[in-house]
Amino acid sequence: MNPAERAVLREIVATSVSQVFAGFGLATCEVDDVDASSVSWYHPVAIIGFAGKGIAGTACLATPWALLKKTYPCDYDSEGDLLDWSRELSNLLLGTLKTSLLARRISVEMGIPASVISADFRMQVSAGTPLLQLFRCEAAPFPTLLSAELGEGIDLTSVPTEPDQAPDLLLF
Amino acid sequence: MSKKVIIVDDSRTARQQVKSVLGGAGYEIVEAIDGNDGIVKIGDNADASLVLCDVNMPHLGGLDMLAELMEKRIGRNAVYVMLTTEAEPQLVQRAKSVGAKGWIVKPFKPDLLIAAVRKLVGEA
Repeated sequence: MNPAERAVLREIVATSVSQVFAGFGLATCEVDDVDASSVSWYHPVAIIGFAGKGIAGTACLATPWALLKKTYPCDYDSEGDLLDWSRELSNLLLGTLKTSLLARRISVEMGIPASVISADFRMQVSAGTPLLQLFRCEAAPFPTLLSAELGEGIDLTSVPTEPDQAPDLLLF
Repeated sequence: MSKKVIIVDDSRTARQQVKSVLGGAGYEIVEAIDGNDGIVKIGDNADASLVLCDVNMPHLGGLDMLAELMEKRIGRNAVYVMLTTEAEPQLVQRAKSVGAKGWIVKPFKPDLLIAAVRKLVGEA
């Protein structure tokens, strides 16, 4: 991935994170100049893969417990509920990201999210160029990591069209 | 007797949310955890009025589940609505072609979900 493509992808991730949390009435901001070694992954980490023609990758979202509790859409009973919600949030994030890619004529299929929680969790990406970003929401910092491999014919820097997407509710 | 709604979603949170919203509006809710479980629950609940179904699920996704139900002629009296984070027009078209009557993008607004369900199957 060249620097221009990285910049576009970084912007897409930032916009997607912002849109997802705005859906819960929360504002997020990206923290610049992230020192990867200082990023804590000691939150529930949700991991979701995606793949399409000429593109494949993985998105990771580590959401602090406080943020999971704040955005949980109904009453939660256990830590397991919040872990499940962390997976749903990664689903929402990738769904939003997918719409931005579609606007650039890049179609991907979404995988099924998984989540982990461990003090020993380390992120290691074996392929592609990992894109680490740190965000802040309600004073809580949280990282995202996007790994993507781009093949021939994929142009992330093309001018996006109006997103072609279904409205929130469509009855046939 | 309340109208029955089946929610097919691998996320417990999503099922709980639907249960809370539509249960609160008077509908009886049955839960299924993936497409395979959905086929069983829909077969066991032939009186269900509506099925809300996620698209991306382990084992069997929502669109494949719906195609299989139509092929096996199971649950043909119910109205099917997809409830998903996906908004890709091609998937919406596929849903339509396999018999879905609606598409709702997550996160959904509770009022919107209740209004859609009432429009499709009437009051609880």
